[in-house]
Order: sequence, then structure tokens, then C-alpha cells
Amino acid sequence: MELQPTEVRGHTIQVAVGGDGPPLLYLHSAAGESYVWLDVLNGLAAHHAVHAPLHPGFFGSEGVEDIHDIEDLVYHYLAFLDGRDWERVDVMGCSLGGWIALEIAARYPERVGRLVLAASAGIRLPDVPMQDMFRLQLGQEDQARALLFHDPSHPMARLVVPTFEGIDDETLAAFVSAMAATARVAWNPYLHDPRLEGLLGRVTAEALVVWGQDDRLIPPAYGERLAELIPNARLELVPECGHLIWFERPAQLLEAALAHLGAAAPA
Amino acid sequence: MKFFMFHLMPYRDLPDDFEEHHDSAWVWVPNELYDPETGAGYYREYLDQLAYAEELGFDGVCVNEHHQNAYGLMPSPNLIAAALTQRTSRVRIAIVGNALPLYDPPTRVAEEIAMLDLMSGGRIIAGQVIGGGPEYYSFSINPAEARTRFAEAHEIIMRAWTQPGPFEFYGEHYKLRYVNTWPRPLQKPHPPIWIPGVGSLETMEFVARHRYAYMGIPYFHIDFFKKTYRLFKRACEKEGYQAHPEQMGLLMPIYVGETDEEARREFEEHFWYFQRKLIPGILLSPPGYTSVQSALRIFKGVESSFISGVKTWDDVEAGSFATVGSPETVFEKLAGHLTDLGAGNLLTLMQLGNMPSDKARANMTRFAEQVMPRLAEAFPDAAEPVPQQVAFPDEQFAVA
Repeated sequence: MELQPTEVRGHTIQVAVGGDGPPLLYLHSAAGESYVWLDVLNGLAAHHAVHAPLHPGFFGSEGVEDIHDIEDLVYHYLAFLDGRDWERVDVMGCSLGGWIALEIAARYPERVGRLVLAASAGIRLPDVPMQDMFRLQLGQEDQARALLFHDPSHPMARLVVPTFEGIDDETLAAFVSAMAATARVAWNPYLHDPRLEGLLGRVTAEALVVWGQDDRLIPPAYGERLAELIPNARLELVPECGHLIWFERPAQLLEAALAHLGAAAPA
Repeated sequence: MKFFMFHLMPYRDLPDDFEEHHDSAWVWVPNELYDPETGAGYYREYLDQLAYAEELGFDGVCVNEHHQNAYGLMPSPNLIAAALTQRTSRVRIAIVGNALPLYDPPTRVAEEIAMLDLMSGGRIIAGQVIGGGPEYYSFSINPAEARTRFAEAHEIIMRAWTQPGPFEFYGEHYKLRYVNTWPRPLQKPHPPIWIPGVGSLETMEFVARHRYAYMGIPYFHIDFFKKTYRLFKRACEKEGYQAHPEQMGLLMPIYVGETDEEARREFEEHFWYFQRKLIPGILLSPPGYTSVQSALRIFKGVESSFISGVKTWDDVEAGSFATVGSPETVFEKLAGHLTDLGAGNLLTLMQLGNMPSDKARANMTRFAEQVMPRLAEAFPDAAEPVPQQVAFPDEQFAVA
């Protein structure tokens, strides 16, 4: 993996790039996992040229001041696709990244090939409340791990949500900045766009929807609903797994994603 | 020295085991804990206390604004100020509230403050605040917009008070086709502006440039304030003038007893009620509410310099988180702080936590009779006038 600085609409963003094969756009969650190039990304890169841009405000990607709502991120990534000369590309998005992927696939269906959504934000079910990720404060890392993992003692939990007391300034600043960038688009309406649900019928991409069976942040009912609303979608539930599938059950997510994307890859 | 009596109007009846079951007295603290019968009595008592401050010779009273919490029950400081315009006739009424980003359109604030200024005969001091972190949870306003909304709302209000209307305002957040505020405030060019801050340089520079008054947010270690006011004075110097004492205010809990021992014995339980039950949650910091640098500074500074980290009475004394003692002791300590800081406004919190009314009034009486005159003598008002506030330093326009 290498980090490639890339110009998008007058701002420099960082893009984690690795692997060979048909291109895959990977849109990361609020955890910013592209920066550390997880197992999942490594596995994808064995079959795809993975391009994983860091959203503005994450790990040195600039231009967050121009992002006011989710629609701004849609146009940000359309410009990114144009810059890569990709008329149509496979997209995988996790949580916040899944929400962005859905917005693009619903508005510009012709730009998205196959779609993998993992624990995607974007809609709201009035009867199934999401938990409030913004309620947790620095110092409440135990609660954060319990919110995001099926098993808060999972080795990755401590990596994704480090204990902030006494941590180095750089890590802390990156976390604070990432949360602030997320809140810009997800504070209110909380983690969703009220218009999106009505637009999902426009999605033409074949979609795989993957959800942790024990997702406490965005419960699996959201996965079921997304799979209903997207015309050509299939839901796969991962047992004993919380919200951060890409950290807690990377092997299952990778296997499902590759199987789904592989069918579309040119020989 | 100008003496103000500052009130929070706290809820006094949280259960003894409250802190075992709740980590915050803010935003999510269940309102089932609020008893309206008791609460009605509190508003009567607290208004009586503020009116009593005028009788005792205070120069002003201060009300403030918080939402969905047990710490301070003035979600609308303007309502309390309105009552005070009718209960008092001489004192300044400082409204250290109107969290501008919470009001859309902000012309509502311009209207209400103008009404209050007229109803009080020109006694209003208009605070303008960004609002604490908890308010952004309580109002679901995006914390990323806190600073820019404040800046726009400030401009709208100041223009509404000082420029002929109707005029149009198109900003990032507010798009107003006709700004034409009736009534206009009585004070010319507008009521004095006070702005609180936690020590961010941007806020200080803004206040210094406009020659407004700066109020340090309370409950930090006294050394924190010394640093803050040094920085503020430097910001004024950069603008080419010396900070006037009345551009700076010190807010702190004060309790005067007959002796040091009696003071502590009478006061201490109320301090712990305040610190253990009402303070938790006050520093809730939603993502994007401050710059990354400020967020780091606050996160790291809290344990060592904020009231929430205080464990023992010795800590309280060492950091001057409250000034408590005999009249002599309180005078000496306050004189020391005021000399160090150079502040010309003393904002006294005379009722704290679950302190009952008779005790708060006795505290006020002892302070007014035995401490205030000595401080007034030791810190006479500055000979030079307070600098003229300038809402639009870069612009020339006619003030009606």
C-alpha cells in the first residue's frame, strides 16, 4: 500500500492505493481504517487495484471545511471518480463509507458497478433506534468498545479504540479530527439522510449487504431494510459480530466481498 | 470595582445517590427528577435573592443560560431578566447568555435584548455566548457550525441595533431578506457586550478588537485565570490599547462566615453537592465544537485544572475553586486575586449547589456589609473611561 496525495476540487487528499486487478473504490468508516490498510484491504488488494481515499478531515486529507452535509461528499467523490477517469467502478463502503456509496449509487447509478455495503449508515428506522456514537466522550473508551464490538475484549477493540489517557498527541488529534469530520455530515439528521430511502429504488448495482448480527450502533434491522429497498440486493449476516465487521470478523467480510465482486471482474 | 451577584438557579433536590446512577446532570438527566412544586418555589427564592442584591448595594446582577440540565434552570435568561427589570430599579442586569447559534433567526435576540433594555431604562449588559458543548446536544445544532453561526449572528444583531433598516443579510447560515428590528435598544450605540471564553486566543482577539468585555469561564484553578488574563491583556495591547479593568470579570463561588471554621462548616456540603452532582456533564464536548488543538488542550487540562478533578477541601483552597472564610479571609484572598488578574468586575456566586435561601442571603449580607466596602476602597474605579465598544472596527457608518 502507498499513500498517494491526490487533488480533488482544489484540495489535496490522501489515497491509500494497493494491489492489482480491476479497480475497486473502498470508502472507509469513521474509524478511518484505510489509513492502516487492514487485513480486509490486503485481501481485496490480492484481486483488485484498491483505491481507498481518506475522507476530508481524516489523516491529512484536506478540504473538510467544504463538507457541510452528505451531498458534498457525493460531489467530492464524483470529482474523484472523474479524476481517475472511471466511468463506472465497483465500490465497497463501510458504515459512513457505505452511506456515501449508497448516495452515489442512488443519484448516479451509472457510475457504480458492483456494490458491497458493510453496516452502512444512511437510513433511519423510526422503530429501531440507533445508538448515539457522538454521546461518548474522550475517557469513555470502555463504553465505545462495548458499543462497537460484539466482544469488547477482541484484540482489535483496543487498537481501534485506544485508551486516550496518556496517548501521543498525534493519535489523539487524528481521532478528534476524524470524529469532527464525521459529525459534520452525521450530527443531525443523525447518521442518515431523510431523502435517501426514497432514492434507493434508483440503484442499479448488484449489492451485497453485510451486517454484524450483534450490531448495537446500527442494528441488523437496518441491513434487512436496505436489502429490501435496493432492487438487486442480498443480505449476509455475520454471527457474533458487532458494528465494525471489518475489524471484528475481517475473514468473513473479505470472503463475502470477494465472492460478490469476483463475479463481476473481467477474466 | 464593580460588584455583581451571579446566579445559576440550580436544582437543589437531586437524590443523595444521584451520582451513583447518573454520569451527567446535563442533556440526558431524566426530567422526572424535577419537581415542579419545589421548582416554583425556587424561582421565587432566587428572584428574591437577586432583588436583594440591589438593596445590599451590588452594582449588578447576572443571569445566564443553560438547557436541559439540573445545574442552572434559566433556559431563557431573558425571562428572568424581564422579571428583574420590574423587581429592581438601579442595578445593571447582565445577561450572560443568549447562546446566539441556538436562535434562528438571531434577530429574535436583537428584539428581546432591545425590549429588555427599554424595559429596564437602559440597564442591560448583553452577553453573547457560543453556548456550552451540552447545548449542542440539547438543540441538535451541528457543533461544527458553532463558531461560524456565532460570528454571523453577532453581525446580524449588531447591525440590527446600529444600522438603519430594513436591510438584507445573506450569510452561510442565515438568509434574511428584511432585517428591521423594532424596537431599538435605549443605550447608545448598543448595550455593552460581554463575551465569555475558556482561554482560546481567537475569542480573546475578537473581544479585544471590538473592545468588548471578556469573562473567563469559571471553575478552573486560579493559575489558569492568571494565564488567561495575561493573554487577554496582551491581545488588547496588540490592538493598541491597555485593557480596562471593566473589560475583565472574575466569576467565583464566595462564602463569608463569621469565622473561617464556621464558613467552611456552613459551606462545604453545598460545594460538594455542586461539584459531584451538578458539574458532571458541563464539559460535554461534541465533535467539532472546538478546534482539534483546543480539544486536546481541554482534554489534557481538565484533570489538573478544572473543578471536576478536585478531591479534597485542600484542593479547593489551593486552586481557589471557591473563596471561603471570615470577612477578613475572603477580603484578603479576593484582593490578592483581583490584584493578580487586574479584573474590575467581580461576579460573585453567593448561592451554590443546594444552599438554602436563608444561608445564601446571610452570605450576601455579610459579603455586602463586611467585604464589599473594603474591596471598593482597595480597588477604586479606574479614572479613565471604559473604551468605547466597536461593533464594526473595519467599517464607517452612521449611528442613529
